[in-house]
Amino acid sequence: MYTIIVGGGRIGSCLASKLFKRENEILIVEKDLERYRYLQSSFGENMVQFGDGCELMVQKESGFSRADVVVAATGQDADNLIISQLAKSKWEVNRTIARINNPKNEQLFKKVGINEYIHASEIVASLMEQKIETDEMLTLSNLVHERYELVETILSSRSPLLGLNCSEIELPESTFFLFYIRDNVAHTVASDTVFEAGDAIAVLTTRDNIPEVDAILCD
Amino acid sequence: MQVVILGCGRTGSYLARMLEENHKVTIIEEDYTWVKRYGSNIKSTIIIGDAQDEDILEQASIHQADAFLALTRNDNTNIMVAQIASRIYNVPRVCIRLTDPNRCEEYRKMGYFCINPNGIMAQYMNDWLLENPFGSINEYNKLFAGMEI
Repeated sequence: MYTIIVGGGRIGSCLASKLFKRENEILIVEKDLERYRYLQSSFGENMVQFGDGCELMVQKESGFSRADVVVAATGQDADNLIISQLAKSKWEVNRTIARINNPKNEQLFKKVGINEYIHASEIVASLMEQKIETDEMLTLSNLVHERYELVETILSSRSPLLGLNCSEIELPESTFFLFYIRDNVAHTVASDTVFEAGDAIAVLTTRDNIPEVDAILCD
Repeated sequence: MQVVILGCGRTGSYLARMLEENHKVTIIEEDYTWVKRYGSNIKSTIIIGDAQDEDILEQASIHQADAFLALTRNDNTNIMVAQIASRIYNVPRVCIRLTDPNRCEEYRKMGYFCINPNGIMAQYMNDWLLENPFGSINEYNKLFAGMEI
């Protein structure tokens, strides 16, 4: 499979090294001379071409006409749009994947028939959001007895607790499930309770046990 | 007619001057130095900002525009914003200035009215020198497509 990546920035070059491991034929097209030289030194002469991937001349030399996939991975949405459009209309490339930097441009890409695209910044943001949701244990209250804390967490879809019967869960000493809230309704925790993703669980535990509780509840 | 022009260079400001007596013209330009240099003697509204931003296009009343002309020096900016005008805001008539004759031909095939100034100029000079009658813009545009590939 022949893949052309236009734009050898961090995203383009990272993709190239991933594909390279799978023994695909790959070419990176880079228009910045300094960056081009750097890419040459890390990928080898044959894997990198110098030139503006928006130019039909460069596209011809890169072999757009025999490419199976063209990835438009530059930091400029206008460039990515034009690379993808020309790949389809001029060179009849089967698959084009475009990087979108500004989410506002999604509508235009769709309208002109560039249906495969990736919002780099949105993906990073949602991964971070997931991370925050998963790893967050909120301290609800420091109790009068200083050794104890009341904490709450919302189970993510990757929590190791999902599907387990409550009696099967081993908790550290002095730690208890107090209640859980599912679909805005609070329930007491019974030995046959099975937790689901999205459940908010209130736990009483000691300060020292918090890291351990975190490991049991969260991903 | 309501006309939105992208780019306040010589071309954009000349065109605005020709149209502004009888039509409502708005120019979008992101660089203030260009506005100062070419936009000071025209009556058309000038909006300073990036036309890839919808808010700026909407400030220029792109919804009501009868025509949009993308005349900056950057081919890719012109292509992108012209397509936003045409495909998102349904502006009925759209013109793109393109210095690259190949991109000019490709987007002409997609239905846009594209002008390649260098190619047209060379062709006018050629026709003048050889004393040929001057041709139409479509003939001139076409001649250079494929020449560099």
